[in-house]
Amino acid sequence: MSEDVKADRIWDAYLTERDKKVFAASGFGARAGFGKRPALLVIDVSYGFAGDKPEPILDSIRRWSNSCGAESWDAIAAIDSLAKAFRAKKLPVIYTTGQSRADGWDIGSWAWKNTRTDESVPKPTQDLDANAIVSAIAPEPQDIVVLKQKPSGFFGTNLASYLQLLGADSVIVTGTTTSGCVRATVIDAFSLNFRVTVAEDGCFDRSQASHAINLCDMHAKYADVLPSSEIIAHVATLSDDLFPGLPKPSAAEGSHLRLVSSS
Amino acid sequence: MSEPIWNQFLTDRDKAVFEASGYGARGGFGKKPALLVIDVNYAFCGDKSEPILESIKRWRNSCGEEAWPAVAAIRSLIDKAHVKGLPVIYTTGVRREDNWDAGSWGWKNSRGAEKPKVPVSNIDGNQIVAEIAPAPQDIVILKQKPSGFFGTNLASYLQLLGCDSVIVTGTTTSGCVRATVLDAFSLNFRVALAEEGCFDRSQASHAINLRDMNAKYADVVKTAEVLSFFDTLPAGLFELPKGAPAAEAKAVNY
Repeated sequence: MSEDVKADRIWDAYLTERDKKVFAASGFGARAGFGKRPALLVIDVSYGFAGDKPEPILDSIRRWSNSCGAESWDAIAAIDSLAKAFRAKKLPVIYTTGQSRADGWDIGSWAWKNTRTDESVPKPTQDLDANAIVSAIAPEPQDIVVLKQKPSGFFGTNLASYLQLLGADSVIVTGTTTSGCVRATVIDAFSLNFRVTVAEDGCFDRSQASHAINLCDMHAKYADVLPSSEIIAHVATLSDDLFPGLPKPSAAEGSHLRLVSSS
Repeated sequence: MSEPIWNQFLTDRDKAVFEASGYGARGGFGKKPALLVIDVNYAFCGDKSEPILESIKRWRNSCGEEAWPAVAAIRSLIDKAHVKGLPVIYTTGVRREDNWDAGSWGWKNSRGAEKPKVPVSNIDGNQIVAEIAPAPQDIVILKQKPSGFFGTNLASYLQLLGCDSVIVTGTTTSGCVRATVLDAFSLNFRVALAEEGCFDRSQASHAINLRDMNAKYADVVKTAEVLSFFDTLPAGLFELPKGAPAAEAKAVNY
């Protein structure tokens, strides 16, 4: 457990007494610290994972099989505050969300462990695209959207090359699910030697135990798990000219991806 | 089926949500599996079986006495894989002596700069434990980050062998096992874990990470079930390395 965090952490309730002693003795959970040039990552905050409105999770997953229920919307408010703080300082805000072929062929391994996978293919009964980022935190024109197919935002995408292009040395990670795509993205960022911070109240999961223990695992080894208020206070100390290479879309272009025909 | 190890850590709502959301279906074994043995070295096992809080005094990454029953389970899987001619692939860590390449590992652990304190032994923490030492035809991958795939040739070796699936064992369940399972999943391999062949320094992390993986990425099954599955496979599925003795393995000079 970090020396500077004395208060109970969300994961303490799930640890055994031996676990607490082992974490304390083995030296894990030190504070890694912020980098100097952070990008905000917003992982998969789409209708598929948040549902289309705040409602208890067991109601929400009747219509949205991947929904994390009411907690999603508390986290979305925290992400909105973080995104506004980042944009105010002209820092990069990068979203990920899923994509798949209409025929579902490229779902691959996702289909093997879930009995409701066929519902993930675009469904006629919903007006909203499950992969659309919720409108409450819709990307702005200078933001970057990365489309992905697997848990990590880095797997099979250009995320690492975009962070290199921007000159980012660190990432602040938010989104969902804590135990799934957030965790996978954090591991890859760690493996790529980025400093990683997870905004605790900007992350959500369908499972209470998985949420808590995955925050514990990440805080032990890969990332600093901090409240968004502390991150916003840090961002306020940064100058607003760190990223001259942010996208500069004209009003007409926006952040929408378009296909480039190449020869 | 007996009660899964993770149930004691779940809330009642968690159990209801998983039931309703369709996760945790059986993924099923593939047809051409490789056995992966992740990081079962002295740094993670200690040099003998002793309670974890004792062991980590000398080996800060040790998982304590739970490591050793897992080593025995892995031994049984390796033996069966050898009989059937299935690939056995080990990973372990590699590091420059000056530790420059530790990179992000140096940021979150207050004991990260420690050299293993083993006054009476010359054991290298990255050495795979003798009880499951690699045989000549086995493959050893040296890695620097949690996933066995990150910055290594593991994916290309699985492609070369024609594997469609991996059986994962080793340590830590919540760390390098989990990271390797995730990348195997993302690469569209069928993934299974031999539950008794995995171990971790944290009891809660062990249980919940098994649960997370069983929900979405892998089948968490008993070692006995993997052994029975290996029994059903024909011999000669793979063209394995011919296995020059280790002394003859050569570094390539450029």
